[in-house]
Amino acid sequence: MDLASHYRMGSIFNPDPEKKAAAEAGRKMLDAVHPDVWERNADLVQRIEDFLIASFPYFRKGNAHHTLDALRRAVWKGDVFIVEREAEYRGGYVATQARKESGFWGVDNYDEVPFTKEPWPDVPDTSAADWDIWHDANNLAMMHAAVRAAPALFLPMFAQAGWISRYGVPDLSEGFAATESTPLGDAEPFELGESTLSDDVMEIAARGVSEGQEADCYAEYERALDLCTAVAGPMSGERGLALCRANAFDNYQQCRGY
Amino acid sequence: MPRLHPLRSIIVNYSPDDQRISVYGVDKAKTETITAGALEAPIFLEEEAHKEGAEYKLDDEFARRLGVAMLNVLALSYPDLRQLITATNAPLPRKE
Repeated sequence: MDLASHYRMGSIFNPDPEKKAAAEAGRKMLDAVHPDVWERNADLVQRIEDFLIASFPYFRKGNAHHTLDALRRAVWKGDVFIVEREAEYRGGYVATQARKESGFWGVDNYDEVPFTKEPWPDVPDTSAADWDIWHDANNLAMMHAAVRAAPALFLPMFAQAGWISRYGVPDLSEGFAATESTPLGDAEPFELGESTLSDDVMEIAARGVSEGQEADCYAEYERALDLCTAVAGPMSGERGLALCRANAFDNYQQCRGY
Repeated sequence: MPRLHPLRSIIVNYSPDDQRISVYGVDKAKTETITAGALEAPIFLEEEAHKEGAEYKLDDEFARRLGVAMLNVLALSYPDLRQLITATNAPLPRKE
């Protein structure tokens, strides 16, 4: 089922007037609809929900009201266009009897209701799985960069947010060895953190042990990762190394009072 | 009838003075208080051992990997020992 079919308005600066008018009409039609009527149409709500999930990876399921509200906001923002399928009903009055039989869209088969989405230009215009891969790659890169810059600050944050269990423990030892210009190559990470962070919100929220102990724990964590790498060197499997790193991280967390 | 042995763990030690690697067999029960807090680097037979049918074969390559891993760990603490290691660090493909 692919609702996100190819509805393009032409270029942004020179939209196809006919398609633009159709999209405008669809938007007005959506505005005119009584939300509570749609909310009781479980089939329609389900289809909209499926469409939103497939099109917007960040969309989170909710009740019918939430789903229709999300659709409405997407249409207002111009992320989604609604186009009436049957031209003869567009803007016209539909007899009560006809409406009762065929619903708001003038069609019996809601599978063919042409919700269309204008794809964003700079991201993959494909499946939800591709979206996930795209997001995972971004998240992983971001987590590595953040943890490298200030491990004491970000490791517990990512751990509590569940990123560590999803993406694995950031490989600090190898990353540091590979690039000379990383800020933590041989510097004291915690002094850096202290001098650049003016407020102490994170200190209050996350600190379980003293600054000095924290530094010791991190140094021990790095040594533990060295040991994991030493054992994994001659090995071909991934699971042993992953588990060793997870053990190292658990010890690290324990050391820091988590 | 083979002699009965207690369950043992192995402690591998290196003495740089007389360039000696010592292998200690220690009652597993005694080591458990130590290993409980120590970092475990697991080596899964499933990943590293050769398999014939349903059975794992701890072949030359498996022994080589295990040995290199032990030397690598010792070498973290004894850089001089690192200089002596000429064994291939990476896993070697098995001849079929």
